[in-house]
Amino acid sequence: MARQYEGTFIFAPSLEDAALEAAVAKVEETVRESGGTPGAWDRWGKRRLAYEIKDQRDGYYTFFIFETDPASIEKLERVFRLDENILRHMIIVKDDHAPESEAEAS
Amino acid sequence: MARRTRGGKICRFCQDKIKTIDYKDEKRLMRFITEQGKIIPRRVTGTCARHQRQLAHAVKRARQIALLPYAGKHHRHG
Repeated sequence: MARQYEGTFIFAPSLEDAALEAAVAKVEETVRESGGTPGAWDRWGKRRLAYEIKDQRDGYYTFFIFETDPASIEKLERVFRLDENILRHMIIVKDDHAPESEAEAS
Repeated sequence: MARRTRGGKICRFCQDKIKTIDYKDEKRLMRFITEQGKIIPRRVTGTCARHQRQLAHAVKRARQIALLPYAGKHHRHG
């Protein structure tokens, strides 16, 4: 059974508009490939990081709702971790009833 | 620190009728951590047990995505 997830993706601030769109599209594509259903994006835009990540002080914050099978999360994590355009990502279970149970990673 | 910023006897989250604390609500979370980035105990802020638990969780998530610091605002540079 598919669950709803919310992913946070912080993209490198150096990305040009086109490259950013490509990176965003790639995330969606990755989710689709794993049998998931991409949902809405919430883009915060460029923002100062609370601490430096990969020598960067800023990051492009986006939040992404999607549905997928819990079994494919691990695969997704690996792809996102290897993506050099993503400074940091975090996937959490978007379940309003049980805020305490989830799978997360950095 | 001034008394006002430290909260009072009643849970701020209950007061604001917040059911689930959002880790993206960094502005709100910021009021419950110290300058060094530590989570302030509920005996100081007056947060109820349920919300304090959620708060701790939310702060930890916010730290992961660099919305909040792990170790204070003015940290050491290399």
